Amino acid sequence: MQEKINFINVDDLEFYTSDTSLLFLRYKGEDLGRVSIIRMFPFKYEEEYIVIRQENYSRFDKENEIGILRAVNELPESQAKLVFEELKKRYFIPEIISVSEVKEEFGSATWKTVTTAGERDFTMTDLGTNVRSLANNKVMLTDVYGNRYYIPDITKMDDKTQKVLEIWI
Amino acid sequence: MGNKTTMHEKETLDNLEKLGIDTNSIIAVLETDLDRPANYGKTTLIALPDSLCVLSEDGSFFIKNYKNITNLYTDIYVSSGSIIIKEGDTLNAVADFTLAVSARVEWFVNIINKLIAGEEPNAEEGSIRQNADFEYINNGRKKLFLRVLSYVPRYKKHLIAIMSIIVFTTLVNLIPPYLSGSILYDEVLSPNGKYQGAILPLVSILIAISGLTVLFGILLGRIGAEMSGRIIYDIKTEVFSAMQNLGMSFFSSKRTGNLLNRINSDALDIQYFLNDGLPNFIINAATICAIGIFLFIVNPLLSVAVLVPVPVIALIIKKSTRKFKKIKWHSWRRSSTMNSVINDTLLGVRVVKAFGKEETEIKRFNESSRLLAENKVREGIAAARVFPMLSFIMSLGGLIVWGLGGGQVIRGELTFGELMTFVGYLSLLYAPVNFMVKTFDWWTNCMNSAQRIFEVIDRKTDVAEKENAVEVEVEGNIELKGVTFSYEPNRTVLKNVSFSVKKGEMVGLVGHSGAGKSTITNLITRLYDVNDGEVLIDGINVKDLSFACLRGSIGMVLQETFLFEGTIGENIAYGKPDATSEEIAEAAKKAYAHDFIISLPDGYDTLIGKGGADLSGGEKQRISIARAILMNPPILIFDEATSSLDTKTESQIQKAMDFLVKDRTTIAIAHRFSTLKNADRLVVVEKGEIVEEGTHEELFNKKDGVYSKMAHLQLDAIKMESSS
Ligand SMILES: Nc1ncnc2c1ncn2[C@@H]1O[C@H](COP(=O)(O)OP(=O)(O)O)[C@@H](O)[C@H]1O
Ligand SMILES: [Mg+2]
Repeated sequence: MQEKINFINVDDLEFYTSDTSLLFLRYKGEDLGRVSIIRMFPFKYEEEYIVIRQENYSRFDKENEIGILRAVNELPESQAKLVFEELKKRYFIPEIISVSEVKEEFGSATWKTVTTAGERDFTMTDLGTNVRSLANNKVMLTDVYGNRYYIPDITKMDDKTQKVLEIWI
Repeated sequence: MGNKTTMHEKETLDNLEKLGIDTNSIIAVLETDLDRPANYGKTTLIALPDSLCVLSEDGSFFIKNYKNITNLYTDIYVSSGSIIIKEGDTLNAVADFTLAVSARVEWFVNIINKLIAGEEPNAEEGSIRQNADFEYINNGRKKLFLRVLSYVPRYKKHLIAIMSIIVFTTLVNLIPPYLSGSILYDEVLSPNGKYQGAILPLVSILIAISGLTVLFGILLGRIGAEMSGRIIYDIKTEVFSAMQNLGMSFFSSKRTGNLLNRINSDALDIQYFLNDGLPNFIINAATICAIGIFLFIVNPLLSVAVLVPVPVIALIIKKSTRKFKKIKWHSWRRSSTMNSVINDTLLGVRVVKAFGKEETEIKRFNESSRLLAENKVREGIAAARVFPMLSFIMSLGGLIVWGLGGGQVIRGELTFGELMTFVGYLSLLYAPVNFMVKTFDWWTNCMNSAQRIFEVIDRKTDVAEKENAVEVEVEGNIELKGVTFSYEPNRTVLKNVSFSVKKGEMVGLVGHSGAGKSTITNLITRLYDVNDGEVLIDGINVKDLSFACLRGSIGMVLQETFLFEGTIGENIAYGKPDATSEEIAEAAKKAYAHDFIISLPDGYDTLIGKGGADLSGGEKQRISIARAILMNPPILIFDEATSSLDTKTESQIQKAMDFLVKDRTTIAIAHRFSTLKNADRLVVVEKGEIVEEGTHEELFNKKDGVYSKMAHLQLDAIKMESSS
């Protein structure tokens, strides 16, 4: 256990990836193997305050915190790119671009949508808890499986979607 | 979705045959819903007897021989995950998926790991974990409604009575406007009318009719209330017994937590609908039809004019209901925010004062109170706008009738009485329209509630009693063989846990908090089922034992002692309801509970639980020990509270425990040395695995042992306490 949070000096970091784009790290010249990166404030800061942990393949060994990266763009461009890719994968929350069909029935709602990650149909229940409105008209949806979707501006969505969501926002 | 998958799978199989793979040898197929990280698509994984085949959507594929794979595991991110393959020291992601398929992924990864280890996998699809959160049953609108109604025919007599009253009321309701219109003006008041001057009889008839309507209304209310009350009773009974049979996982999942909280209010929603909504809906619908037909017969032209405003009214009501609902909902949310501010400050008053935060709290309260007030104003404004508009449009309908009808009267095409009848019916017509629109809302509420309730009733239990479960006299040998378990997919809590406890032996489970000790006991009592491996009692798999036999053989003294509402005596007798008063006292005496119970003014009849007397932690624990002593089971599970008790209470509990564990198989999750030293053997659990086993002495003296470290820490703490 570390007593103090280690704010990492970016010069000590050297990320690299495998063929299948898993993220690995050499820290102060030492190869630490696979690492995971976690946003400390996922809603507030997307590219700042990133925790880096050493990850043993066994889920039983406690993951080991290496330290905190204050801002991704302190890294050289090629390194930052690797981190952004990893963040994109770990925080896969597709943005809903357009909605072709909405059906609301008995407190559950089914959407047929096109998202930034491709076409997707999903069902939500218990709209009261699974629709989370954030600042600036942003809305986060969670489907029955726990998958999340993101609406950047609810006022720009189609009428039907707004109508289904408005009472929960 | 199920059908689609099999179609896809067929396609996949055809492709495989083209690749020269013998499709008959396929053990399992997994289709994910991402083709690469963060992109929807499909990756197909196929388990073959000696290798894993991974197929991309574009047809490219690779095959890995099990000989080269160390293992396969999954990483779960925020709303997706990756399947990772470990070959020696090399790690690679083989596929990505979203949480929609994570339960299936877990099933598949398990199969592959079995194949890698050279074991026989259980590839049956039925072995895919049922998770309350992971399946959503959509009952469909019509089916749902019919199902709610299906409770009604059980009460045929009530139903017939209600229907007759409805038909009768509708017909009777139609009479007054005719009497006070055509009859009054054309026959009674007019000089050459049939019943000229018969005012008194007419008024009497009108009074009689309204009396009759009131009477019918009361009757309808009574019968309806009785029927709907019973239906709700039926539904609640069904929900409750369904709930009792569900596995623990159902209750600990967040979504079902919400579901359960609402069952009572959901049942009320259905009751309102059946009680008020449905009968009134039928009455109003019948009234509208009857009036419509009648008006058309009397005067088609005028009827069309009357009906013109109806759709407009319906539209306004529908629009405004939605708006009202939204505002009301906001009010509700804001008032609950305000309440939680009040709650926070009252419950946390010591913290608020200690930190000198009174001002901040006042501000927080004022802010939420202001928001609520603002919304109340909006509520008022919206109401003030809609209702005058509605009455204006309704009066417009009246004016049309007066205008058009007046002309007809002047031209002699219509009598004055007929015109008055029309106006009378008009007012009868608009009220039901208003009601019908509102009933629609009611109906939606009721169906929402029904959906949630039937979801609970229909839920399949994940821990089910076998049909041919055996009933045996349990002696008390317990064995865990390679037990692996996770509460949620992909978060393994126990991994390959094996140990045994012989009849009459006492084994202490030790480990840090969160290590998985309580989980082990949950599996022995079969509150959950293992994912892999087996739990045996006297050599019989717990899955083969009947619930009555299993749970009747295991006594539990739990960390969080739960006492039911009732007397102390009843609580002690919970596991053996037919116990005599003497047996109860005997058990309490042995549990060192008798003395404190007797010093309470109401003795064994003292009420505890909600609204009853408050007992201390030590007292509650002794009651639950008495409970276990009275039940006298061959196996005892003791999950000790971490909170420390005073020395006297502790030594009393210790003595009670000593008695309790005698001649019984005991598994004790303990923190105190006094308990641990008594154990025949200790099993040390660390992060879901067994790391050490042995007697207290052996483990205490083991250098760098987990137990030794824990014990020394505790000893230091005790030394510090006594020296200070
Ligand atoms: N109902 C549950 N659902 C999900 N996770 C649980 C549940 N109960 C316990 N856990 C998790 O399982 C792990 C082991 O818990 P537990 O067996 O209670 O530990 P112990 O009794 O050793 O303190 C912990 O990480 C805990 O968070
Ligand atoms: Mg515990």
